[in-house]
Amino acid sequence: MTTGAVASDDVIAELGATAEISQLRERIAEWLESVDDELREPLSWALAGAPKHFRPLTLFACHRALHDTPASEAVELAFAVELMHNMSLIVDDVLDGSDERRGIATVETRFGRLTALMTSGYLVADAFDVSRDDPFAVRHLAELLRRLGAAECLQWRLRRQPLGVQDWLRIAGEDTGAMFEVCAVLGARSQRLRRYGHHLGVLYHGCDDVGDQRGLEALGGGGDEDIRDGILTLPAALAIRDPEVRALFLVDDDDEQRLISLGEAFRAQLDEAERVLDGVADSARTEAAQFADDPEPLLALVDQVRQLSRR
Amino acid sequence: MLAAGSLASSTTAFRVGAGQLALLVERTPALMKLAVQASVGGPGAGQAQAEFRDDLLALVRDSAEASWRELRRGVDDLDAFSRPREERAAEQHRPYRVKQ
Repeated sequence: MTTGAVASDDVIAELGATAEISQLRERIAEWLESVDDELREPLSWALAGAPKHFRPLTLFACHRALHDTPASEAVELAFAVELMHNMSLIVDDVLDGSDERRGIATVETRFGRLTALMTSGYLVADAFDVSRDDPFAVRHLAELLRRLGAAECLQWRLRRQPLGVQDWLRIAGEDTGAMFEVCAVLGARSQRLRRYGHHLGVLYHGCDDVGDQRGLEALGGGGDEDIRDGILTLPAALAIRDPEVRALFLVDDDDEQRLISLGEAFRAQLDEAERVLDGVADSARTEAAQFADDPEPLLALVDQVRQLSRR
Repeated sequence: MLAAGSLASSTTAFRVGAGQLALLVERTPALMKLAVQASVGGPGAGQAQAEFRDDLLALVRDSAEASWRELRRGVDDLDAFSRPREERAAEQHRPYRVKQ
């Protein structure tokens, strides 16, 4: 499941990316003027609400960590990533049957399934189109699309199974981890910060899982849906070490008492989940310190993402 | 190049070995304790089995991660050590006089 959170303008300013994010927003607005009339409204809807921008922030930070040139040069790449990310959100909402995203109705709820799926296709097409003169970007956007597809199937196949934290790491690494990896690679224009992006994505995914259980509205939501669908979130992976909880987790029904009991068991693991996330954050910091010419933007980003489970 | 390669390889091998050793020293005692709990049986055995699986996989994963990181670091070191030193450029001069 693709995860998300609102990066406030304060966070963007703290990371020193106000100018780049403004350029990105202008680019999105300009693009929306040029899209097909038939799909302009759903496309505008998909990109509306309080956008997240942690992926472009990753791309810009990785660019700054290795290059002297202004990160604004990476705006077009960040734009392509945003299109791809919003595609994944639309598909996610269709699969989850979600009603709301970023505080407004999902594209499917507002315009219907056909329009939602066609809108997601339009976003992918334009992500590739804007990158057509950049084979490096095309190759990595294709990698992202392949991995997101496979990760979605993996996550669904592994639901309601007695797995553990290491299995969760694999799922998170192929889902959100893949997205942040590609952002890091595109920003750095090399593979140097790929593992940094991977750890940052896993951290983001885990903070989202924990935030869902804490009931944080700032994050993407979906905690109840994840419990209902038997999705292996980080608190779930920790809680199902207990055989009694595991037995409840493996059942496939909508029994309300079972779902309540599972929710309580998951919430009891939040402190342990925070400790796991601290370890993931440390891995990201180690990568930044060893492989970035200027690790500061990367370390600041880790700190911001780490706070998402508590914000 | 040979000297740089040897230096980078031996440094990397040492870092990988030291990293593995540190990981094993840090994690093995807790892992052994869980293995015993899981094998003995009793009320906590199921949970201990699940924790053992997670912790063992974590040890293997972290070990691979640390080795991979040190190998990449070794490549960076080799790159830095073997890079030809750039000679100081000659004093800049105009190749030809600009026509008036």
